[in-house]
Amino acid sequence: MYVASVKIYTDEQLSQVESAINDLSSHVSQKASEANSIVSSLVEEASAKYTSALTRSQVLSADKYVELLTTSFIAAVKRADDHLKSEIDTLFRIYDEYNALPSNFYNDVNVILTNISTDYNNSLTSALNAYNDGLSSYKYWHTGSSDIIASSQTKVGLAIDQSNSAATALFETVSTRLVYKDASKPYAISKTDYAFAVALAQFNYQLFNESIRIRNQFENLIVDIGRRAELIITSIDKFFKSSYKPSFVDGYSYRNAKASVINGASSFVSNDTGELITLYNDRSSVISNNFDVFIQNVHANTIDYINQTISGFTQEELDYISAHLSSSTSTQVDRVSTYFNMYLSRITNIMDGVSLRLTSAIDKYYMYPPLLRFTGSASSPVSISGVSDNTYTFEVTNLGKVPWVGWFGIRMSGGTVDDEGVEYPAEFRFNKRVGMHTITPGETRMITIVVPGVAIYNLDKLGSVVVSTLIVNTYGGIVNY
Amino acid sequence: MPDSPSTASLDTARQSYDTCVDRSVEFFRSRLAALVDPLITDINNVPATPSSATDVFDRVIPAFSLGVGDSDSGLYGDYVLNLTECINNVTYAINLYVASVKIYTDEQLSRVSIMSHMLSICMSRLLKSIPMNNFLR
Repeated sequence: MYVASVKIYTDEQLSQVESAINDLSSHVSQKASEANSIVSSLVEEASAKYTSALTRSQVLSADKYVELLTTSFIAAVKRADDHLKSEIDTLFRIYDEYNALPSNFYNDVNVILTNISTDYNNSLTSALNAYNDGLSSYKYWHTGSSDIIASSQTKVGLAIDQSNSAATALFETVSTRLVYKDASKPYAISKTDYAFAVALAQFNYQLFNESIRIRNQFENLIVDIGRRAELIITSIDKFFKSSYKPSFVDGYSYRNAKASVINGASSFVSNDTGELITLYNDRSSVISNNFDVFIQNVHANTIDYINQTISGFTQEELDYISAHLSSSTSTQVDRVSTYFNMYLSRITNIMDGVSLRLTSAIDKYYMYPPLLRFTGSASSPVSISGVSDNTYTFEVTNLGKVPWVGWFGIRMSGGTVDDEGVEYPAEFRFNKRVGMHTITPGETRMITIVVPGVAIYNLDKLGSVVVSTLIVNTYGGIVNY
Repeated sequence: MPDSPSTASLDTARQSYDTCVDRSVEFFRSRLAALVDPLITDINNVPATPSSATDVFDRVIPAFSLGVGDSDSGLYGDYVLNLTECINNVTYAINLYVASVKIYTDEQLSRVSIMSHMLSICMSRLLKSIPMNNFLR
């Protein structure tokens, strides 16, 4: 930029120059302030618009997702009901076509009924697994989701309840329909298989209720642990805010401070998350033990129920039914066991979230900001000259992930020493700055600062007391936490 | 009586500074819109296909914060750098102007020195006042 020289002869002219510069200086401040306000407003507006859209979308998506899961489950139950009814109707139609039953008819019916019952239970199990998997795998619930999920589970429970009642009724009609042609054999289709079919319907119903109860217990546990994890995350934020001291030059002090903060945070995060994991293990162990007891009880109760309502079983027949139930129980236990794995996975996700927050905080406070490291390449005057230039050079690297913006300077100060060697306060001070630097991440730059000898106007009086101090003043990248 | 001293170069510096700041703000505005609008479009499409929720919500950012926009300085970081450059440029222009002033008395020298010093303080405060803190969430 070419600037013609401005000659000033009078105070009035000087005042005009002063006024012009002050006016421009005020304008620069005002303009920058206005620009910052505009940018702040833009971010506020964009943030509000974005957050609003995100919140609204997450609420709508979660609600729609539960609705689709519920609809899908109810449709699957209806398909299982229709299939069951169709199979029983087919059995009845075949039965009706016989004038005289074949000798192996009842044995065949045993197999058919067992297959029908197994298919029905498998269909419901599959639908329930899909429903529960869908609920567990979804990550973006909102504050009102608990009510929506509870409402959905009520609908699912009602659908299962109605389906089981209808299935039980259907199996009961089998005994009355199929014995019609031989009144001398009230349980001609095989009393034990009929009892097993009834037992399965009862058993499945109770197991469903228990599985829902277990799921709710896990949900409550997850909510509890999630809240505690939130507290840990809040503690991480508070700890870093209170412990962090802005520093942008690498060195002993910086590394000690960094290690102290990170070790402090890591220590309490490790302890607190360890307590949460212990809490989860303790509670899930109780749930697991209770479920084992439940399975044993429901098994025994079902056998009692069968023995009381369809009396006259031999021990051998009861053992037969019990063995069938045990086989079915094994399948159901495997299904419920998936809850433990699913919720363990969610706990792991929560713990990962806490760990990620700690990592993010470390990045935010120690990896992201600019950080200067002196490479060691430097030189300074052998002695301070009061005549010629005093040249200081040093090399720095920006280790941070954002540009370092600021200035470097040399402060020279000196006092006087009397004959007895007593040093007096500084009577000389001179600051030399070399203007603003922007050092991009990873960049290494050699900085040179020249202090003119004429600036040290009374060096001869100061003797060896002149002290040079390097000043590093960071502007850009300063984050006032 | 000599003519009044010319301030033409200061007027030019002022115009350049205004253009520089306006351009920084507009650049920030356009980059912010380019970042936000496509995200909002993706987000608004999720309720129609809730099964895509995890994919979309995992990908989008939870909220705006310092550094949003790219992996280095971020939208706001770039703005700060651009604004800093504008301020540095105008400061440089003012310094050139001050350097061009030919003075004849010690008193005038003293007044120009004070003026220059005050300008330096003013610019330092201005640079420090850039509200980084507003964008931490």
